[in-house]
Amino acid sequence: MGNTQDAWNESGEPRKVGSMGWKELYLKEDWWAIWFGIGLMVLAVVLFNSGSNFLSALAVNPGGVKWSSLDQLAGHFAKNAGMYALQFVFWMALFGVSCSIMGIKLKEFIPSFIFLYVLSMATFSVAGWVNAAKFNLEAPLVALVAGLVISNTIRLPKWMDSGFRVEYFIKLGIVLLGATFPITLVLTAGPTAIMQATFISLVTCLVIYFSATRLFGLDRRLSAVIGVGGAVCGVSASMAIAASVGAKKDDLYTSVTLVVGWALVMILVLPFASQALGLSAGVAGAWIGTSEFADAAGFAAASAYGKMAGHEDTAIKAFTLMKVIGRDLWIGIWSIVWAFIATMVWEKKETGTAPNAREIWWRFPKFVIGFFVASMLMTWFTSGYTTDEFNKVVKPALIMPLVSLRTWAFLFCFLSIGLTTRFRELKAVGWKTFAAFTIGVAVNVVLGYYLSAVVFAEHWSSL
Amino acid sequence: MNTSCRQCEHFVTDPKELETFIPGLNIVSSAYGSVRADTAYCKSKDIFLTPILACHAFKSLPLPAIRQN
Repeated sequence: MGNTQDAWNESGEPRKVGSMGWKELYLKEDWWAIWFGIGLMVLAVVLFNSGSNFLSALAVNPGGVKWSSLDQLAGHFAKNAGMYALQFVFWMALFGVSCSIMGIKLKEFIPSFIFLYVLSMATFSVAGWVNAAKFNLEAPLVALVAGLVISNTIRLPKWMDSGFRVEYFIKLGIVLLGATFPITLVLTAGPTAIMQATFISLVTCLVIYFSATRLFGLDRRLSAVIGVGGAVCGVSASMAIAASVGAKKDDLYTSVTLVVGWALVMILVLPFASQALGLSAGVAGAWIGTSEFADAAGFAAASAYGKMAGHEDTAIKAFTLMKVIGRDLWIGIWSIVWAFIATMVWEKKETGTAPNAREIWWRFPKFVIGFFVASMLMTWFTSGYTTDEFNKVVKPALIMPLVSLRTWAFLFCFLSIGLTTRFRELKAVGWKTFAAFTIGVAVNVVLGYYLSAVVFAEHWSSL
Repeated sequence: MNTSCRQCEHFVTDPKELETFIPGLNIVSSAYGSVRADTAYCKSKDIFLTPILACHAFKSLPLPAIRQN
């Protein structure tokens, strides 16, 4: 049932059909990621200018301890107990207030987030073991596997999903990433990423769509939904296109299973495949950027491989260029094109969405604005420092605390992916649909590899 | 009165309801994100759409209490 209050205005008249308008600024997680991400960045600059290391202390995590005995780990927690308590309150307040305003119940969010925070500490602790790298116990992979095991064995109550906000956490992380991402890099490397990503997206979408409709005789609406799911940005894209083409509930549900299934496979396979192939962090990041379907899953894979290769930052930057800038930004255009096809080419129906150019803005992933703003602001702020000053003063006192906060946001995200993935709830998918999607995945991965590791190898390796 | 999907009982637009309605939606996506915009689900027609003017299957949500006084 819809929300009665939103349906009618104060005079009892129906609210107009149209976009959310200004309400979006506090009802969408993208905007909260912007407010908090930019806010934290500004706070970091203010504290840096005042000579304070408060943010650095607040961003503490056990991942960097490199402990070899449990006493050492316990000592770290004992020494920083006060800061961890403050940090917990900080995260709880930040996410709790915003989630409550967005309509998520606090009585569900609070206990759930407590559970997530404790699990995050445990995950960081594992990754902070001195021999963790030897056994590839990278935090993103440990988080994902731990989450999957818990959610599929212990059967956490469904209401706990209120605290496992995968997308919100990754969006905040991406805005914070912007603060460490020079805008000059976006301007110089962005066009190549957009060109490569667009080409691969078009080919993959068409391969999935025509495999589904021509080879397997599947419904064209379902085919469009899974096509963009595999070619653009996963379930979010599927949801947008579902409205454009008037898809059914089962079509989106099918896309969820396919995207989630393959996304999890890619998180686990791509880092080790990249390692086996000896790819540089930049090349692997770009390859993951075209092979993964969702930002959250892709960051997990890129971060994991980046840590393996000893260049996490490079892998994440390459991934961001390819996936966030190369693919995510253009979802509105995909929506319009498919709406046009559905309403003007297939058939005109009573329902379904006519193409509307405003969808480019309505569906624009707003958190990317935060990423760009953070990048521009930080580039401007640090432009007055020499390279030596930047490395010795700015990086440790201003940049690294933001990196650490970003790492926390990312880990909340990776754990949440595992904790929300209950295999028993996913829809069983027919073999034809699976085959059509998988053909697209294969083309996507191979083409992505060829362009990243061969054609543009020098470009990505030089990041 | 120009009613639309927004005033219809069949229209599922609440993000939490959508995430419950489509299990797994919140794993690598979100009903609270900008990309979703106004996309919602019509239970009557079993389709996803952005709100349009009311169709023949329209069933009105109750008016808010202020109107009933």
